[in-house]
Amino acid sequence: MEFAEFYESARDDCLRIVLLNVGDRQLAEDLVAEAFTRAWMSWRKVRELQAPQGWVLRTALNAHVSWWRRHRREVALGSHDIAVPADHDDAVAKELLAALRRLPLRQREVVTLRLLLDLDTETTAKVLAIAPGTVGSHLHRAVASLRAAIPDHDGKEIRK
Amino acid sequence: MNDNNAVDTVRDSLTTARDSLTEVHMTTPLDTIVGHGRARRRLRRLTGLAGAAVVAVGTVLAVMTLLPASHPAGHQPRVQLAAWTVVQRPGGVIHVTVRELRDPAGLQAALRADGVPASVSFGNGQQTPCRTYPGGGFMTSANPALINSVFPGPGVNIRPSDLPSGAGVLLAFYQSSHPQPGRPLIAIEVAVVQASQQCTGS
Repeated sequence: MEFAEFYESARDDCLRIVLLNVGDRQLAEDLVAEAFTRAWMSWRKVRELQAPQGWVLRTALNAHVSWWRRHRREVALGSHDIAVPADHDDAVAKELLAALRRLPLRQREVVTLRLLLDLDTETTAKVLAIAPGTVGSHLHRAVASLRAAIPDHDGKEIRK
Repeated sequence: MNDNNAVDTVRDSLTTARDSLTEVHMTTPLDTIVGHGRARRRLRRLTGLAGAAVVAVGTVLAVMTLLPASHPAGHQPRVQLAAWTVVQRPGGVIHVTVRELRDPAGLQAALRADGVPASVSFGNGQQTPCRTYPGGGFMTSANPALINSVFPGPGVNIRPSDLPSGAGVLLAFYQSSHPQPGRPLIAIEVAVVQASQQCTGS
């Protein structure tokens, strides 16, 4: 696959997933652009990966901790859009996404790759360079936190 | 509720949230991505990665020496502390090595004394009043490769005379988020910025 083809096919999906994670439209765009730039620079390696899109997402989520991103966000861009369009801001989504953003980075990575990108445990483990068992334990803890943020049918939050 | 059901419930909710964003599209053109990647590759070459000696440091980090004529050429440390070192190398190149994230103001002052209008910050999450330099502000971001291998390493090379008029260098050093064997413990981000009192102090 050529980089252009990969970018065309994966960019919107990556942007939406990162947007869920960071809650800021412009920041998400910056992070994904940064990640694809790095993918382009290492394309010979990235193209051979089992899940190049997972590599991009992991890179984007890690770039979130970068000083430069915060700098660009505040200095170069000046203003940023609201995270998620208002019509998606229903109570469930807001609670769930807020809970997702509170998760430790590693748990968010696992949730992103396993649940949003639908990678299997083995592939997720390879992308994150951790053991499959570690993926499972991070997922278990993350799901417990996220599940508690989803109201049940009676509108009450579920507590395990 | 067992684990599988909980996973399914969370997955359904997250994918619903994701699928509701169908109107959200990436607006960054492919050309911009590739252009930034090429610029970084050039910068990587110009800054002499992997221990290579500094040759001409292109149009952005490069000549019109601001160093006083009395400055000795060579490899003598201009300022050497435990945390960092500033060395003047032949050709007006200023070489910076950072070993510990301490005293950014001292490093900034040392660079300024050597003709490099600089804004130096240490640590994640630092904010700066700097503005990127028009037409060439974006240089690189979050590129740990700019600092070679594990410290002490070759660090960063700057040729102040090649800086455009009114430009300065922004150097942000921070602890690598994912230290790995053979990778830098300290990462750096570099940009060319507009020199100003607020940003570079001059």
